[in-house]
Amino acid sequence: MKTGNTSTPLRPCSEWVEKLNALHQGDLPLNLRIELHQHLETCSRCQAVLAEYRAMDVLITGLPPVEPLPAMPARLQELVGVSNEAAQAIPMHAAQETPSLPAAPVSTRTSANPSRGRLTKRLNLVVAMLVVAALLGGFLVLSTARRTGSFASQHSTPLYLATNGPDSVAYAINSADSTIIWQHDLGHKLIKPPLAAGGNVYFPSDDGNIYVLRASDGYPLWHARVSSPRFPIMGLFAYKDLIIVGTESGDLAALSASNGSTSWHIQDPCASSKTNQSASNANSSEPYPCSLVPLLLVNGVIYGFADGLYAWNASNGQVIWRNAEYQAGSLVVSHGKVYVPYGYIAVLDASNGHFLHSLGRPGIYQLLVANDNIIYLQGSSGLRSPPGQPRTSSELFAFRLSNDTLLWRRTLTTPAALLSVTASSIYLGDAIQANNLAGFQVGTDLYSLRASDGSQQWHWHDSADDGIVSGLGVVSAFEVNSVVCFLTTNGIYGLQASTGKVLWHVFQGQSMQGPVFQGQSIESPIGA
Amino acid sequence: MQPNLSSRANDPPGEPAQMPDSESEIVERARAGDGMAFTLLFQHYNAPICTYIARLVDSDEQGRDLAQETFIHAWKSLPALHGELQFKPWLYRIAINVARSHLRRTRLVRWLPWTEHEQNPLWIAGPEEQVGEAEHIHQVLARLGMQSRVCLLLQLYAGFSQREIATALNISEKSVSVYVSRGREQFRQLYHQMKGDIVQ
Repeated sequence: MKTGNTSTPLRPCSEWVEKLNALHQGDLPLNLRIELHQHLETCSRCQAVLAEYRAMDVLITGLPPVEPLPAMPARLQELVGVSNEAAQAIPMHAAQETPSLPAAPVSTRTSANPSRGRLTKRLNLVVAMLVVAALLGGFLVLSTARRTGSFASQHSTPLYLATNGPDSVAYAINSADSTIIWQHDLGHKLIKPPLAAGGNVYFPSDDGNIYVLRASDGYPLWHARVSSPRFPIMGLFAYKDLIIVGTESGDLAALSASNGSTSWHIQDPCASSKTNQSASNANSSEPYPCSLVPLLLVNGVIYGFADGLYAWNASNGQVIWRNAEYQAGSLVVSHGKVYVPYGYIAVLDASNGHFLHSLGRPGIYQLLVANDNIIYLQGSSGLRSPPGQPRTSSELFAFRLSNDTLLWRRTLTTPAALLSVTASSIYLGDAIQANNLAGFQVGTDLYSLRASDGSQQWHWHDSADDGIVSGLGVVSAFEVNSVVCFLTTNGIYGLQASTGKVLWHVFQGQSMQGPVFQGQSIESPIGA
Repeated sequence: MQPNLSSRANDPPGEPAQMPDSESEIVERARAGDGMAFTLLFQHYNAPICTYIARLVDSDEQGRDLAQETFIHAWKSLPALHGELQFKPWLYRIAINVARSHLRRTRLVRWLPWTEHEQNPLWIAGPEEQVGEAEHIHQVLARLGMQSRVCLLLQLYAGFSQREIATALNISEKSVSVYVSRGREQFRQLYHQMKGDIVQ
């Protein structure tokens, strides 16, 4: 922090800090509890810190209570009732055996709250559609080799995605018309969207492996174990002929994109925790774990958080610089500067991590860079608008990257979140549930704004609320070949970028990972 | 057993309502498709799950929305579960996954009202002048690492022991111990930093 009168709070003895946080009787064996008690009798620092911990606990638990849901929501009530009816109408084993393939393209739905009878009919219809889709999907796959050129648009780009669930299925589809190019049973559950780069598609799995398919036909190339299931993959990047992986266990590794062999590997990058431990707890044989959250790869430099903000050389994994001030958050790197939300937007020198200046007033920001010229920031405060005040949900700001001056600002009246930007457009999306107390219109929305001034170009709205876990809403959106592709919990949509008209909607009712396309994520993380 | 569907208006927020029968019996009935049994589970866990998620995502409104998602996920997933089920940690695990998905998707964060871009805003004429203590605590919580926040709030709000947290998250007790201590220490430091306190 940049306050002039702040000094570092007391630190507890490092070998006791975990034990000071054992609140429950069973958290510590009796002998350690006795040892802790004896230590506290002689260590004034730990005494003081423990008192502070307890005071902080009181602060946290003393926050104003959260009002629960006033009653079981109608959607949940319906679902609970419907499930019994569905069990009678459709035997569970039959539903489980139904192949999970994308449904045919459908138009935007308009039903808001279908009755139980209608839902039962819809379930029957869905089963019938799935059977038809399975036949259709199988036909498309079988005939892909001969027909790809004929049904794919001249301007189509392959999109890569996969179903969620214990046995994910990977797909490549055409961006222009959503037709299937290939599919492949991965047989594992994905934890993040895939990465498409260098003619391959990389699927990070919950078993700690990365499974690699050839982008052109889905042929499996190799897989490599990069983490344990306990410590998932946190970031995946492509850089030249390397695939760079960061894991929650603190490992940062680079694999050969061609065969998965390890090029370099760094464990436990936490410099300060090592230093602290060696200074204060030299006899301890147990290393202090260090989580690693790589966020960006820009110009051959990996940026991410461990015990501070780091910049690593992507070629060899060496630390270029570390700034201990910033411990977590999001990042944007552009014009030789690093932008970090930290109670304000801190602007750092990308070459050495030194603080340059800040943007804005205190707050916590979501930020996203559009192109070489503009950085976009968004914040939400509308749900706290005082009664009687105009309802504002968030504000959107555009700053010139060249000199960090404000270009424009707009107030949004929906809780839409910033999703992606192109040189000309900004995309925002939201999903409003039936029980929202702020009175926003129920459904899923996607907004297209002009990047130059923030004015709205079009708005797409789907009012459906069919109990298929809506509310998770628009997960991601991007523009490719004049098609806006976006992922929802109700499948994947393709909209005409100029008008917002729905071109296709596939994988209806399914939870998916992706889509991504080649070149999109070369220097971007997955799932960030 | 007659399900107790009475209003729980008198129950304090964040505290589970009393269950009329053993939870395991009710869970088994819900797993078999008994909607009324699931209603009981909903009533029992409505307040604590709303509170927990609201603290995780730093929004009461989103907390309620995501709590609804949590119960929907739970209802849909119950029939597929086999073997002995520890419902409470399982439900909290769903809540955490739903909250994580939400945060990952939207990076939804709060901010204070923006005035105008300032020429020399190096810092911060005392955030405590602009926000109350509760808002201050919300801001500090929002800046904790996700895993630390998850573990710390499970300890403080759900009353979980470290072993129960480990079960809920499917990680080791050692990791839980590290995350909890890291979270509490980080909270303490950030709290002082953001308030500009002097700590000798």
